[in-house]
Amino acid sequence: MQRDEENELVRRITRGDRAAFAVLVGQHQRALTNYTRRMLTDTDLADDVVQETFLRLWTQAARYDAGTARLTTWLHNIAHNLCIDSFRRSSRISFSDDADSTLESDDAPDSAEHSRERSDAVRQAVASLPERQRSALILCHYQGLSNRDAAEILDVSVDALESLLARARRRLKQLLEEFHGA
Amino acid sequence: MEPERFRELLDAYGGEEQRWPAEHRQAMRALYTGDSGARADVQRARELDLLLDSYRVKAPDLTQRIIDRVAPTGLGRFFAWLQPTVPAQWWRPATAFALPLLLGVALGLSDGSSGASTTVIDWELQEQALLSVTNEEPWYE
Repeated sequence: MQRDEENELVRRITRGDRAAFAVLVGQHQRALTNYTRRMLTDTDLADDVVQETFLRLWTQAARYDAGTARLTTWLHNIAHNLCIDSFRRSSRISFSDDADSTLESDDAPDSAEHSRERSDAVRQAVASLPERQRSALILCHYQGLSNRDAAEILDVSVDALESLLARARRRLKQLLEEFHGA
Repeated sequence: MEPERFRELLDAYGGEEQRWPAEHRQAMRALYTGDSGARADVQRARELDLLLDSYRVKAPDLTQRIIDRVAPTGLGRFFAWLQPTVPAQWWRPATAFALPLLLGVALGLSDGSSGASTTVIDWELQEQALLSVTNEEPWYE
């Protein structure tokens, strides 16, 4: 979707247009869910954060400034701040009990088992990273945001973002030594 | 681009070209295509990328659930805002319920402080009413 189209939809939302809202939810919801589920791992909480993010779009669309950020960056920013609020409320990271249900695999049974094991190890390793390293890695590696967008969301310089990313990847390499290069 | 900077960028962004910063992509590509050591560095970074890519999450379609939570009018927006989606927002409905209560208490206090009751008994009117009752003939006669 072109930025102009997206901006027009946001303008329509400020006038209470549900159809425009539905289009933007359809456009961005899966990406945001991917983000929050990796950030929080508690899937119910992650889905609540996504809902709240879109509720903010509905109620505060007039605050979106298309000149300063892309809509996806703005939405990621809201979701990120809600995730951080959530971290601060619960002092520890909670893992979903139905962890296996969060994984997708199209592999044959034997390799599926190995894939699940590997995926689970990566999930735990990512979740064990310090908050800012985890955010930086998820925004850049998994969400595919540019370095500038990710730096803006984290409110750091691009150099600081690179440092966070490098430390995160170094740590993950150590934690996943068993699987690395397999 | 200096090899040292190239390695710093690989350490941060990994070995996949599409993840490299747009402003450095061309210079990085030029360096690693002509340098076997750089190609080996890229390959090592890609191994970690592949491992990270194995962690996938299922993203359910929440579209309808989200749309159902919003209403088209200003009042509807207010009620949607009232509903907390995370525990930290319970202050919203709590405030909405507490405000009328506080307003009532405040009004009650201000009414009580305005002075004594202003009820006036009209004794003359009461006397006339009693007389009119006693002057009537009994209905059973």
